[in-house]
Amino acid sequence: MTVRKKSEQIKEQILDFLFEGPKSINEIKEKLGSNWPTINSYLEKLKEDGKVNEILITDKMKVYRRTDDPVYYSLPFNKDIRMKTLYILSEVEKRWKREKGVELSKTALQKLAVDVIKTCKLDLPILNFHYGMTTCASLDSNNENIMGLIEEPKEKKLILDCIGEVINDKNHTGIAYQEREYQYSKYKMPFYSAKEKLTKLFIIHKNKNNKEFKEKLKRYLLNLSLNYPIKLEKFYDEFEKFAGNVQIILSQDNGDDIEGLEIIKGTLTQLWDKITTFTSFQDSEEFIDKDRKQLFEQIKELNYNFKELNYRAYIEELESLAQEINPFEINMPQDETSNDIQKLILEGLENE
Amino acid sequence: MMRYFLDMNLPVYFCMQIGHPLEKKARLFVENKEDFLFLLCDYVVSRNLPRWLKRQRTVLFEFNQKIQNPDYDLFSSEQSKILFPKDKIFANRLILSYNKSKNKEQVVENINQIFNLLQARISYFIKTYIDEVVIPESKIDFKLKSCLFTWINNDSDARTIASAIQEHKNKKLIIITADKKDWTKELLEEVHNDIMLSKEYSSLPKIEYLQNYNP
Repeated sequence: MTVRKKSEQIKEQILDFLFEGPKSINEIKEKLGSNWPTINSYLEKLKEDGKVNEILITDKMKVYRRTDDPVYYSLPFNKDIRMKTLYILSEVEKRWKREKGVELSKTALQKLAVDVIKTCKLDLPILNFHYGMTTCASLDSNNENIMGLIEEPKEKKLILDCIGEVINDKNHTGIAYQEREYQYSKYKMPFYSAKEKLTKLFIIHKNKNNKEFKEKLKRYLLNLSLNYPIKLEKFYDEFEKFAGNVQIILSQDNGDDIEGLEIIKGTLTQLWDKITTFTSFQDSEEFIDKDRKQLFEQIKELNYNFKELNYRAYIEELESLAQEINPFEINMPQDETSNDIQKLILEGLENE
Repeated sequence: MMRYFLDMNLPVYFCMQIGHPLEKKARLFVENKEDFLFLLCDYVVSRNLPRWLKRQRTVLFEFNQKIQNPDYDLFSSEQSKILFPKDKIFANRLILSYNKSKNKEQVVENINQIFNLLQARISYFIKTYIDEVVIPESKIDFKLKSCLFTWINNDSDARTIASAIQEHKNKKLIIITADKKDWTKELLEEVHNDIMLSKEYSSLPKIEYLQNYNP
């Protein structure tokens, strides 16, 4: 009986420690004052129970995380960042429910929490993620194990005041898509706005293959190209490859049909996922403590590779779809300015 | 079957649609392909064309950034470092055209469409009309290339012409180009002023000009 209790205590201690972020067996061993085989066997048991898993396995080490780790990608932010972020999320959620009488969606909660962090000027990570800016963690208030671990930070009063201010902002409706739009306009995020328009277009497009949809899709895609942010120039070639191939597919004179609409949607989703994974890691980097940088890099690489693999599969299919089209059957624009532009291209050919 | 070795400018002329005389010649030349084989060298396919297209994409990037945000500091992006002065002039002229135009939205749409189509057409041209890609870039004879470079002073041209001369040694070919100024018989004959090169490349390819093409 005593032994079982001790075993449960150790497991609990391990889980509590992992709440501070992913840890190697060595780190856990040192924290608990135990030895490698013991900790390894407890971790195996916790793994069997579905409470932890390996986030990283190399020849030299294994790094574990809680399966319910609330931090995106289980990034190794320090305890202080994790605590404060979760505290803000839980307080915003509670206050909203108390004052408005309804639950907040996950997206809306993130948008409000970001506003709180910005209003309070707190030194906490804000990540440019798939649906705009978010905090570094996601809150599941039904998870009592996590909720029970959240502590009040010393900035409690300031945070609570800011939450009041943010919730009183009438532009916050608590409705996911409106919250996204509000954030994009408030913080001048035209690339996200353009993507939102595209996503909406795909969602409301019920009567497939009509001319109006095709024209809108072309226009919205161009709008996305025009708003491509300079800070993402690293991905510009890939973005252009996507946009160029889609424009070719859409310019094909085959009536109102759009061949490969699902591939277009899928490629956009994967490309967006890849780009915003990059931005979220980029935004996180400065908040990672020096001794966690290596782990951060390893997690980053792992995720990049995974996203890249997903994206490759789609873009290759999109490319082969576009390559089936004879681009000489699509006319170059024929007005005077377009002719001048082609002449300029030819002029530039000299001395190539 | 006669083998034509194409200069890089031919596919680009072929891809245009403005009624330029050389565009028409390029089209005629390609349409009468049945009796010929078309060759491009690896340097053009793997290096020079992609690099040129990348510069065009960068010009488009700079254009799109500037028209969307007038405060954008033109050519401040990392990728714009690859642009030549003439590319920067090109980007500025695009912006000028945009500023002068009455239907700005249409101009933006057209510029993006032209650049997209150009990329697609060049890829399609290579895939459809090129029978052989010859002389791997790493196999370009450095001495031959250097000799040509001394006279032509353009590294890309020197590599492309060297590839043509080397391939001609393997099997006869004719060079076709629109560059009457630099790609000359006299330039090729300079190779024979070097004893070693003249032994190695005793036969030199003929040059034909797109301007003179008559089917």
